[in-house]
Amino acid sequence: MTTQRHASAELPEILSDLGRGPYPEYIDNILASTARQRQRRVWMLLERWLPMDLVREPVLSPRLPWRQLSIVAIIVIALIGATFAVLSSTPRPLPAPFGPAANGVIAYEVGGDIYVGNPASGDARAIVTGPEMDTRPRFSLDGRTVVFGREGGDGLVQLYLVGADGSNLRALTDTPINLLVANVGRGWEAYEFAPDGQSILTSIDVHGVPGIGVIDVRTGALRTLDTTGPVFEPSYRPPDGREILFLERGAHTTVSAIDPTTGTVRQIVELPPMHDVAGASWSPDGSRIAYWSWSTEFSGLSARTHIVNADGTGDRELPMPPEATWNAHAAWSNDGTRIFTVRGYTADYRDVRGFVQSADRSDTGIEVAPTGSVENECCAAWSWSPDDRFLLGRPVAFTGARAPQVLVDVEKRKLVPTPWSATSDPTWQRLAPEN
Amino acid sequence: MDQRRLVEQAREGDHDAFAELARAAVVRLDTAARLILRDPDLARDAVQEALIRTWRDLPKLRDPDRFDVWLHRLTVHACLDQARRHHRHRIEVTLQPMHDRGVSDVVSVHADRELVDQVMRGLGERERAIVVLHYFLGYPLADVATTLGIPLGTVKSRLHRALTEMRLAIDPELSATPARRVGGEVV
Repeated sequence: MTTQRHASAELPEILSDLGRGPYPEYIDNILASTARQRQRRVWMLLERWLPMDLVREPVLSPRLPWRQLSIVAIIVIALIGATFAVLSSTPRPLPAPFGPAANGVIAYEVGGDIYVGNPASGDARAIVTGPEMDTRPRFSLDGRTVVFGREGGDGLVQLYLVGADGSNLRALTDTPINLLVANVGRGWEAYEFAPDGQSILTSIDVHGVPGIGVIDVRTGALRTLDTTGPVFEPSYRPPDGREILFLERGAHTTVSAIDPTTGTVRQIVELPPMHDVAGASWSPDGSRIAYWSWSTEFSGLSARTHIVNADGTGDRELPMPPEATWNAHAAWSNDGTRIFTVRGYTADYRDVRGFVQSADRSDTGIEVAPTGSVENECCAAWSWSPDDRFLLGRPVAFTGARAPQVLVDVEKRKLVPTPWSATSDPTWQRLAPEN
Repeated sequence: MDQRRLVEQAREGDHDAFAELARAAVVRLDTAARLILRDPDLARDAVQEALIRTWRDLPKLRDPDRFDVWLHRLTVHACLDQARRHHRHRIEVTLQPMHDRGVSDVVSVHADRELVDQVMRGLGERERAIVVLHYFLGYPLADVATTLGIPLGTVKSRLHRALTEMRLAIDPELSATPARRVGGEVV
């Protein structure tokens, strides 16, 4: 047998044998997903929208008063232009970095390009395109800038900044960084702007150990913070970023915070032995922290969401009804009064629903998203809209694949598909509230 | 119903027609994706991404007869995207020397499969995509070049490299090195 025989005759059969797996049952989930999505219209192909006989046959019609119509059209265009000029010359104030704001656009990635889209109107447009693999857009808290990662083939990521309108694209760092993106907890938020927008917090590999990096937005300089063990999920403390929350999984498993100026570390919660922790997040006023923890001795899902004061006191579980088994993925509303959690009613992912409940732990909440829409495998990502009317989620399908983004109308408790099909993590532009 | 008619209907928004097309293609797509990515989970994600994009962008397909080519192209690109995203999870692993495997002059089909498997693992995703497009999906080299957006000469040279690897795998006497380091994927 020769190699030539492989190539010409037997290789197709061997390849077919090599690549064959069990029948892809996940096709059902894919089709369920596509059935919910609209196709893109092809506006540039005129014949698809006009009856072809109209195009082929001359149509006799009475003469139109073209001169009068032209004058009217010019007047209308001039009025629209003047209105637009007046509106655009009045700068809109910037929103506060935390608290409720008005909804802007959602940034997302499709096929390595960065888009912004308005879920209400369905309008969407690319702000960064090209052959590069651009991923993970995140808005600054003032809504003006998007940071995203440009992936190299070597596993490193170069961070870039671009205006929300696609202007002023520039590399943030001189060289790519070893960004750590975890799918546990809030690890999907691999970087975030400081409240003042002057720096970006990243989860990076520091000499082989997961650590915290702070990148100066103006100079691109990267500074790593002196943390001892492997640390994860860093996030700035509202409202001024004077501390950075992180999880440590070293000799002890803790929820801790570090002062980025002095390097002083303080422990907020130490988990009992054989417990793990994920998803720590600040309340919008920086006074409380939500996190979820679970026993590593139990093979099923057993996570419980806790809320603790920023000084480590008052650590209590978020209440659940007795029939529920676990809850996780806590996300604070912008006004700090409510928390969204993903709640399971079995010790796996068979019955998982989304709930909104009071952050003061006074109730067990209301169901806003039914089974099948929230999470079907580890690890979904959820975030509130700036005005707290919607939740923007990126669920995970039964297949384990990232599912397209979905919106939940919180008041109506209704799922709303996004006009686009994107599986990137949620990030929503904040705008100053309209008076 | 013939495929062209199904594509036309799906292009007009008939999801049942699209479902029929997708079910007919999914095994082939899944196999191709597994061959390129060598990871069933990444392959599943790639096929999902490709089929969702296919449905979404079907109105853009002007020639229904090009549906298969287009679908395969989207799948291969989704595979390469997946590979780029997960590249950081790759580690270096060492393969056993080929001559330790006791390859005889008469190679069994099972041994052939293992050898091709090892060689495929030793190739990069782009090389694997070339092998899959040409030998599994049956595209002429010119179409492979068009699909991947690379020059025809590059396709030929990469395919030659892949075939040389297979020859070296089968006949260790042709190989100067006792072992090769290749990328392996970890979950």
